[in-house]
Amino acid sequence: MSKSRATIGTQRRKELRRQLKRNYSLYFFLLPAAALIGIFCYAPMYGILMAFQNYSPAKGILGSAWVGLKWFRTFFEMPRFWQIVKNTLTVSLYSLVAGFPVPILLALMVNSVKNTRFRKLTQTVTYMPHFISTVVLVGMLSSFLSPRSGFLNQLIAALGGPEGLYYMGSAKAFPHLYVWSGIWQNMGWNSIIYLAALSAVDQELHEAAMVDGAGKLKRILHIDLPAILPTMVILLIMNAGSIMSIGYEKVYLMQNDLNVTAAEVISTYVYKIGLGQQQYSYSAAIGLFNNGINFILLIIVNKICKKISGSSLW
Amino acid sequence: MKKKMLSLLLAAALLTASGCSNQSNPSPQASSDDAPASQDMSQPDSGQEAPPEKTTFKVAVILHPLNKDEDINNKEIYRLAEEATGVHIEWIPISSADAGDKVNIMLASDLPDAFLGLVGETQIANNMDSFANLAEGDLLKTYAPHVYADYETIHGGLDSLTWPDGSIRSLMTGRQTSYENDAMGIMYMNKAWLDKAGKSIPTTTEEFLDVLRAFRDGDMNGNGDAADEIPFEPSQSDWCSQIMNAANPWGIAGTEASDASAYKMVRDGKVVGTINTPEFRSFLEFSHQMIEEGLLDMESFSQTSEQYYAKLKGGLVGCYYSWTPNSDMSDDAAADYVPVGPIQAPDGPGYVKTGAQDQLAANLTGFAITSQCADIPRLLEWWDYMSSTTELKYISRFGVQGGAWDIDDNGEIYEKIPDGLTDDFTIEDYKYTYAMADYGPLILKSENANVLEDVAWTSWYRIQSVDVVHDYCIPVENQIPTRFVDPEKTAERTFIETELFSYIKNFTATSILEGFDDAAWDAHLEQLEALQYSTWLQWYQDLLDKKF
Amino acid sequence: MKTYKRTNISPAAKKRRRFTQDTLFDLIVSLLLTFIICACAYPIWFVLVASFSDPAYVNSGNMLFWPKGFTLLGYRKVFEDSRIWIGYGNTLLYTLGGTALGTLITMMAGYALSRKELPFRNLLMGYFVFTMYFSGGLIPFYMVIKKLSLTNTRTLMVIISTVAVYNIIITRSFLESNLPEELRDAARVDGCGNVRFFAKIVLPLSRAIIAVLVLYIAVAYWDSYFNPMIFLTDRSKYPLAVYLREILLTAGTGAANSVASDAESAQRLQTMVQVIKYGVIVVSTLPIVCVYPFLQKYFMKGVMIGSIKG
Repeated sequence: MSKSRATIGTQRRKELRRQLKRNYSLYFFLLPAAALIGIFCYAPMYGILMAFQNYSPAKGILGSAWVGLKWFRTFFEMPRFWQIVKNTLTVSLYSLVAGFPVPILLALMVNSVKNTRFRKLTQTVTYMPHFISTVVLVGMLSSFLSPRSGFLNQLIAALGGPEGLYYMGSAKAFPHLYVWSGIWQNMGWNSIIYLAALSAVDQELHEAAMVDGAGKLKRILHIDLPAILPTMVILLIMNAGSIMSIGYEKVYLMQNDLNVTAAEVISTYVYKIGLGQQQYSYSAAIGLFNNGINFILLIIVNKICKKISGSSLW
Repeated sequence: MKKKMLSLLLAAALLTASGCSNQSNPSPQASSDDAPASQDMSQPDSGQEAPPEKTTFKVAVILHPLNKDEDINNKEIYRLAEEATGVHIEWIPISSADAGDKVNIMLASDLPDAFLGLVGETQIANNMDSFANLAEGDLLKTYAPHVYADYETIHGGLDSLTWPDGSIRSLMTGRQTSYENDAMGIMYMNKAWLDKAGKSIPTTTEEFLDVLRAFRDGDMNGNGDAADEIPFEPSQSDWCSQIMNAANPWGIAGTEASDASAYKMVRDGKVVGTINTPEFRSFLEFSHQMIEEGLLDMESFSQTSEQYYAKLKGGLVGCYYSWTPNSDMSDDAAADYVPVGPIQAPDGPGYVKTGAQDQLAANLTGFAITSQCADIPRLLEWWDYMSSTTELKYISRFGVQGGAWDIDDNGEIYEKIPDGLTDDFTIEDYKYTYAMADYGPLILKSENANVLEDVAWTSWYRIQSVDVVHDYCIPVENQIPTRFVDPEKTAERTFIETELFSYIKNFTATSILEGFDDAAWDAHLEQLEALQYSTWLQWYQDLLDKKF
Repeated sequence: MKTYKRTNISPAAKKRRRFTQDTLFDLIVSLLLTFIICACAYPIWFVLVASFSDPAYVNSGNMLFWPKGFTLLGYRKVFEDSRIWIGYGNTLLYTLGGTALGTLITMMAGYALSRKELPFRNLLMGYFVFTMYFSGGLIPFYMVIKKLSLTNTRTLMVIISTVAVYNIIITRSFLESNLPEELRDAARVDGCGNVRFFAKIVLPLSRAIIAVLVLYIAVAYWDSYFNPMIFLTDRSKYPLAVYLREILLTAGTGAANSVASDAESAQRLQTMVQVIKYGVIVVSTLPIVCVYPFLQKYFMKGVMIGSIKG
């Protein structure tokens, strides 16, 4: 037994050596990216330690006092901890479930359009909202949804609905507003990668299917969708790996006294703590906690996807 | 070149004359041909011992968005100071939008010699050793005698700058007091609407409701739409118009403009809670009634400041809180709004106005020399020079004499409007472009400039408005003195506040919008305890009692 | 599935049915897309119209479809502001340089990671992915850059965002699924090394993903404000985005953050910014928005297969 294992071992090593010899030039391809990542990401990585310190910029990592897990405890013991985590998960899971399929559907629809002009128009127009800055977006949202003069309320009133609904002031409405305004803003942008994948589909497959009498819908389901499946899986894995992170800016701008019960997420909480005083260590600890969870989720989802679809990050 | 020679000569003269001391400083007049600066004032001693040979310091300075000239050395005051003291400043301008991150990075890597208008209490507290201790070896007293003397005239002036360990890490900028800042947002009411409705300015909450109802029912702005008037418009997005101002009739008010400032008050040396009281409950019920009757704009709680100003400019608002109406709308429209005095609630202990009488208005951490500075005395002398006369202080604040300020026949300083202003370049742009406005050496209460109706109308009108409510602002004995505390203590407080304030604001807003019953009120009291409201009050009690 | 079983239907009938089905499908898709176009175009139109309107109308919600209180004041002020033009120049430099470099580096890394025969492939993948989740934070990052004497340099601004792990991953995934193994094997038999294969076969076949990368990286550079703000001290090296942020931030929070004694200047800022806000947004985003239409031809169907055969 042990002997055969040893031979397998040497065989493997041999195989590896052969592979290395044959493919060493691939490492040159990897070198620039790996070097930049090394300098920009790994060299400062020692900063993670500040999550376990009472860090002050003037003292630096070496000079600051060690406090162990103090900041993690502070975070977990916070009275609203569960509420904030719940809000964070609600918003991000909702974003994932509602926001993930939309760009795919959009890309498939755009791809099925024959008229080049219409196709280009759709692509360009849906892509543009991505460039509206968050401040302006939230300003527009607040203005369109105003219970007094908002466009939506005027429309609803004109159709005989109830007057003066106060969307921005409702905790219940917050996740919907946040998620759907995000989808609206980014569906075009997010569909680009799928359009690129679709451009690689062999047209002969479509022609052959057409001869067989397959309609457009059928061809999309059986030809286009499988073609973009690997991209979908990879993006799904990466989205799942960012469940705990929601950017603070848009939530913070949309937040007000009325909806704060639903609109306080981890990142806005960290931002508020930091506003009062520079809590480097505390924010580093919360960040580390979030990303630890994100990373674990990534690994799990990656494994599941590998089993089911064969596509995965590694 | 010529100027440099001149100042060298003057310096030499100074050196020889220094035996008989009390004659002084090279006059700022010496070289400024475009600036008729203070010639007729006798120059007090600058306390300067070294000859003004040239030294350069690096100072990080706030770059105010209204400053239209990014070369800070073009400002008159720094030209004068450089000539008089030989101190040349290499400025590192930092936009106010980037200040937080950039300053922290500077603290971690390249410290400048000093920060002007950039650091706050927390930054000093967390990086104490990065800042020079000016109390050590009487540095401040020795090299900045004018500054020191100024601080001594203020009651508790030096105390407020001193850290618990006895050190002084920063100097003050701005003004010691400013009457116009004693009250915060003042209620203004549309007089034209009042007249149209045949009402007078309300003095009780009942009359207030009555007036608002009249505003709601009539077509007050006369545009043919009787429904577009907003009787009462607070706004959470505006700094001095927040909802807690509306609790003033029930004796609830803060010393500052923010809502959170009104969550505690001092009575007879005791820090007491406000939001667990029957008065607060009455205020909520009253406000809910206003919502029910359509008198209070419910959008107050969510609108952006743009939406808010659009309503004001659109002539839709009956009454609201403001600094002065003519900064919110056209002068013609603003002329209709008049300040409203005390409004008493029958079930309250008497009206109190948001604001604090004789409040210390200075920025305590305005100018901070760092431990990096190789020659602290020289830099102190430079700052001291700018504090040495009232004229210099005003050159620092408003620019050359005869521009935005001048001296009248009685020797008193008054603010004026400089020539050559346009809509694109207002008095505010002027102050930040040619001077430092609030980022100059401390101006004492006794040095405050006069504000005259015909030369600086807005500021004058503000003072007239403050007169109406000043007596009701929180008196000195009920204020918690400003003092630096240990960063650990501050952190304790901040952790409580982040959650507590968020809860209180939410409770206030939802109760006003949707109303509440006894059970909800009881739950509120319980929730306050769960969120450590009493611990938070005790923190301030300890601060007041100087326990830390 | 059912249609496949019915073998006794004539080809003509098949075609007819397909035709009616497809027409219905096309109709639904067109309707949906038209709706989406309207929903997306309106806010863009709003920003555009707002830049020509009096801010008071814009903010009160009175301006809906056409400019109200038409004014060119906003644009006049924008064009008078020299900072905007300096910023433009810097942004162009950083964006062009960064995009060229970034696209090349990303393609190379993506290609290497897409080869199954790359030894330690998963480990290397982990090396990259790990940095998406863990970082040392701002201050250590700054210290490293400072050690390299790269602070306040244009070089840093060009190279700082060249590598985004996300981009490497999508590139790898694209190449993995669209570059048949057989192609590499065939090339190897022909004695074609990795370098030649990459230049002659991979790059031409990857036009779609290159277009995506160009777009992603260019947009990231164009919008990037944080790194320039932190690492540049010379305001003359600032890109447009930093100025844009200064302006928008002042508009959003200027009044709220002001200290009491500065209330009047805060008000002044508010009005100043309101006038130019939308003008600045239009001027600063228009060029980058215009990049996409030029890249669209690379997303057309059959680009890749066509080039293999050709």
